[in-house]
Amino acid sequence: MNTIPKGKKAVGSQIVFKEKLDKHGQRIKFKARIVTKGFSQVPGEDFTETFSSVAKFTTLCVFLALSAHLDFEIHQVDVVAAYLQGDLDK
Amino acid sequence: MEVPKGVEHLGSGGHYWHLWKALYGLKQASRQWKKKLHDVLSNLGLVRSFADDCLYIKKEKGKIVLLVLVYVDDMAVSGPNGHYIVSFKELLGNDFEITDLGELKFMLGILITQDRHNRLIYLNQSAYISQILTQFRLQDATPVSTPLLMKHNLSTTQSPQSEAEKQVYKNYAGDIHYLSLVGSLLFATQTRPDIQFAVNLVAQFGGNPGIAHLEAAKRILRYLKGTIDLNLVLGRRMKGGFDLVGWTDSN
Repeated sequence: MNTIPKGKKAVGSQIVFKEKLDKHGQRIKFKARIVTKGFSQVPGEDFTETFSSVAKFTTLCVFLALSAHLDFEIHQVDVVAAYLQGDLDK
Repeated sequence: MEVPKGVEHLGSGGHYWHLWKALYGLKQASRQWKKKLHDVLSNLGLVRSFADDCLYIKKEKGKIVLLVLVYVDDMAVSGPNGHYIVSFKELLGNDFEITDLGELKFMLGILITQDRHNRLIYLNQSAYISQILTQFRLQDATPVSTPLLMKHNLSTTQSPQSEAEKQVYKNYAGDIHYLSLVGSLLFATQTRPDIQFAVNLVAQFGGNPGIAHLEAAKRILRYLKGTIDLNLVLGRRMKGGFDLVGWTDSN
């Protein structure tokens, strides 16, 4: 918790609620997540670069073809709440 | 950040929260995640590929022991030895909370089946194709055996030329958006090179489509309906190894 530095603006926030349903449409849990209203951020002022780690489809094909050719085992891993892991510089 | 409604007792009245970690919605969240993951993977001895930032490679004595393909929070991990994969997942689990999905089955909505005996991998988008068939209400359409007809001879002369003709097209198309249909088909070309030419052709009329163009685009979907179980096969042929073969009809 902090008071705001002069000349800076706080980014808005909101709590998003979500109902998780199972395949029969029955509610299994409620989820709540605090999100920021990032659309108010100004490029160059609040952040300098945006980037997303998205692989090219060709890379996926090469990855799979190579794995098949060399008889590799392929597994899949998913990171939970990935975007909450990043550290902020400022 | 402003204090969200409902938790004012944790600070309000001119007080704000100072963010230490990225949050969903922040413009820089995705980039900060990429940086963090890069640091973690580098510490595990993986090297980022020169060709694609999302591919990481680990070599030992000049041989690949681990390949990691990153798709935001989804990772495909492969290697010659299951032992390396298991220990990679354990090490990754020290830094992040992860869900181990076992053998690779689905990535980017593509069903991936591995035939290790023949060293082949099958890519299949039938789930996606069924979904777009329903979306464009063609789930009960009659399948056709070719994606395109020669006699249609698509050109801009079939595009509406006047406002009145545009209205006729609009009434005909109803709630089907041409560009959205073309976009959906474009996504399916990932595993379906057989429709690439046809999709490319109908995409050329995206600016001002006519009834003939819409019908041609719908025909591609009907073709997909009849050939929904076709797979894209990656890997080596049983005999002859990893040859690249090209043909040409020039003399």
